Amino acid sequence: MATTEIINGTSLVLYIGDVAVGSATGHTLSVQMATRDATTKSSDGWAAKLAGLRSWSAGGSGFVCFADTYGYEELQAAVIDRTAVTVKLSTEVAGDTYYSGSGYLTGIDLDAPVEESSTYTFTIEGTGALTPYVGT
Amino acid sequence: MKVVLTKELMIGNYPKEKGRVIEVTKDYGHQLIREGKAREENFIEKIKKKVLTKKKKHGNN
Repeated sequence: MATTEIINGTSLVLYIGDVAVGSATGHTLSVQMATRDATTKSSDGWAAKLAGLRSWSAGGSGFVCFADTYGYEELQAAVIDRTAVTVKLSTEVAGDTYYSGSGYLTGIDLDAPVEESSTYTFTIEGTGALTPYVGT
Repeated sequence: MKVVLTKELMIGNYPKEKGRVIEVTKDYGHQLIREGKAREENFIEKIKKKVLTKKKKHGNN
């Protein structure tokens, strides 16, 4: 049954190729549309815009744990191997909307401060459309 | 959903050993179960619960 209340961020998980990103603490999904200039002398001094390219990106953060099924190591390998990955952000609840698309891992940063847990953050740039689906 | 691997499985170019618990999408999880590569994480607990419930009913009769 579809979730009717405000979605708890913990329930919304980023999957890469059907496997959840391990030791994750946060995920982001961003959709943008660039505009193109259409300002003319008859625009009364106001910038005029027309719709342009659409793009999307996703990202996340987590703790570095080499025992993860799909964690820091695998994410870093995807950057180095330059492989496209399938991204899915989903609650895995029937009736809930989820988003899916293909993208490239464009960066992963590891932070290892003294006497604190090591963390990582990664970014994925989408190629092609990000499509919404309804979970079954 | 969480599944337990019943066979070694390659994930992201890395082999993941039998017995590992992995979180996967529902579709992929069911596919792995169908292919005999994994079982539901709490499958054994579910069976135990069913058996215990049935026994209890018998006792009451």
